[in-house]
Amino acid sequence: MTQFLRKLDDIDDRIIHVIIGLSVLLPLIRPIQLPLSPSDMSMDAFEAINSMPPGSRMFLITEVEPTTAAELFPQLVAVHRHAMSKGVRVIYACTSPGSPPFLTGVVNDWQEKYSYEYGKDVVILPFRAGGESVVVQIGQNFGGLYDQDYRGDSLAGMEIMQGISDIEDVDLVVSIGGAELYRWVVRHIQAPTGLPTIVGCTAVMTTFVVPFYSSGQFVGIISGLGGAADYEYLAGVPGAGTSGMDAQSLGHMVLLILVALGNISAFLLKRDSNNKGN
Amino acid sequence: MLIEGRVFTLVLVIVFTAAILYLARELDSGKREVALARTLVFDAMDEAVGRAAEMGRPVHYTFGTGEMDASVFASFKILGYVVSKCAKMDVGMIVTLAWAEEFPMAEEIVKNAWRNEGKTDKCRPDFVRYLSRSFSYTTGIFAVMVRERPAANFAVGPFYNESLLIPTAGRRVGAMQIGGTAVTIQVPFLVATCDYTLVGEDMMVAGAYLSGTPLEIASVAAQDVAKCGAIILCILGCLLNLFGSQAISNLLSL
Amino acid sequence: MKTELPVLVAFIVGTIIVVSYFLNIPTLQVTAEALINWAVILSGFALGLGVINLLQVHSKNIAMKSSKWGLSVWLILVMVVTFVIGITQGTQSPVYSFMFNNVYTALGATVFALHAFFLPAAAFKAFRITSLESGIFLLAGVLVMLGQIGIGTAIWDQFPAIKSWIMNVPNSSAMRGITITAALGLASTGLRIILGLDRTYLGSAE
Repeated sequence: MTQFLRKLDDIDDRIIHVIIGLSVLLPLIRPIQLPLSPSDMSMDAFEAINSMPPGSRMFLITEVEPTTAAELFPQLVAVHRHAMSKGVRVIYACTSPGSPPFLTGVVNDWQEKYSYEYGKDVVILPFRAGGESVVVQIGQNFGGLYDQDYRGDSLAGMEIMQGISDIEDVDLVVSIGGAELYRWVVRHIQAPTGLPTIVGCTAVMTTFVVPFYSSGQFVGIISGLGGAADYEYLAGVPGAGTSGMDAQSLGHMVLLILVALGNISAFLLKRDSNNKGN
Repeated sequence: MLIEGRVFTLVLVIVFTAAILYLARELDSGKREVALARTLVFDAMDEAVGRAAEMGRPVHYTFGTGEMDASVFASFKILGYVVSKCAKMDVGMIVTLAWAEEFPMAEEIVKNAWRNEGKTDKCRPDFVRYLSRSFSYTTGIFAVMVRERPAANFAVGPFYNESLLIPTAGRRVGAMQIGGTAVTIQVPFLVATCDYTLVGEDMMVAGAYLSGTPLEIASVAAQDVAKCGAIILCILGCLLNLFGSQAISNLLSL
Repeated sequence: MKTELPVLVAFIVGTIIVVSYFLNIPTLQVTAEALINWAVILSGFALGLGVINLLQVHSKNIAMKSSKWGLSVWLILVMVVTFVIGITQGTQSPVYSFMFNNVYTALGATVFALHAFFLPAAAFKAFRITSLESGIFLLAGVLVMLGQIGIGTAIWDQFPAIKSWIMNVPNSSAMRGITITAALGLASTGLRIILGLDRTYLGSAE
């Protein structure tokens, strides 16, 4: 028994890798369709957009990148589809050089289904380097920062930008990012203007973001792939979020079992060595 | 003239600045003493560089993909300490960066350290390498680990999703791992994979401890004073709120 | 002059930005906006500096035929090709989009996916209950994880509620304290740099 426990305690990392790999891969091949229970913060995020009247404008800033796309891109798609289905107009901006292709992908992919017009219902602003400096400028001088869209066309002629000289002219702010973006947005946009703000973030960042939701500064949070799945469930349009949840759920369970096994083996080995000592 | 809602913050900034300057003066003149606790990590830094010298392998230092904030500047101080040890012991260095803005400063720190030891000729231009952000940073560091096989891996700064991957890669090549981040959510990953970890504010204090200047120590002391003030405000605010008074909330919103 | 000028510039620029946050003086606001715009432009130039460093390091590898110098050739080739395509055909062109979607995005997602393998291996070895605190930590983690996933909801439908409570109450409280502390550290470092008392950015480690 002790031999077995020792082997378990010292198990080769590669065996763990194989176990986890299978636990994530198998549900993708054969979905289990586990139940979803949307969290309060996902429901509040959904409701914030759902209650917007047609024609209102949302400013969505993102830093989705290939490394975070697995969690953030489903959120982006879910919010975009919901907004377009409600007739809510969206102004997109980004603070990461890896984001523009994701934004153009989202806008182009769903144009036919939701029959929206670029320049009238949606616009993509160009990437600007500078990280927080860009968000500061958005908060203080939005009209001065952007005068062209990502293709170089003038914003002056676009219906969606009519009457927007300041960030306060939008009705809702949505931030979808992985690291610091939520913090820049709360510092330089939400706190000075009081605009209702939704944050989409990777699951690991949710711990940081929740205090702002508890205090009411953020009206909703879309947390990781689970949040995207919740949002899709509430919107009634399953997508990448929902399909990934089975794999995520099973992977989590296997991880929990591994941690439990590790603790059990450590405990039994320690008891064994104590007994031998006595 | 004063913008509404920011008056209290302005007062705080002025008081905080005054506290730093006052404490720095007191420490400089010797009227006060503030002892910063020496943690095991400082000894570990010396041990790591010594290990690299014995094994004839380089030291790797990286800052993480987070933006340049206070923790990066604290990490610069730790880098200065590590690189000066490396220069003394003729140990090669590889400093990898995700942000181009960090590059001139890191390069200057490395060059200065070698210059101070009179070994300018041994300071190579490829000691400091910009790897770009995103996955190219992580895989670039994997390549450094596999090819250069550093004996010590310092991962100190604002880390995000690479906080697990980089120390794991270092562990596979047998490097001694020293981590540190003020991004609290990444601390468990660094603790799980590093031999020694600087957690949160320990990084800022490490910078002050290693430089030893009265001003840095005064900053740390002033931060502690400010924290006490914040705790008092929180407790007062909660108590007053219980009795229906919004005095503290109104004060903070001034 | 080499040290005094940058310190003076940092002091003037930093003071203008900080003061403009508190005082509503039109000239000051306009100047601060211009300075923030310049920071955005400087970031773009810093990227160029990074590219130059990449070229220097890898050119040297190629010239000295260091270990795996062929990969340095490949890196420079890919960088130049991507740059040329991006400049000549635009980042919306089919070629650039193909490279981005099928190479860059796929590679990025692959590296990120490594977490799925490395994390359980690290967790198995590191997350052991050695004290009361580590036990509480592990329990909280398990409850949050079970509340996050469908299997947890299937086992007991109260896990999501427990998870919400843990996130909204003890976690929020702790995070608020940590946020305040981190902000104080940030403010302290920022003030030292603006006042010229911390010259780390000049290359001095003091």
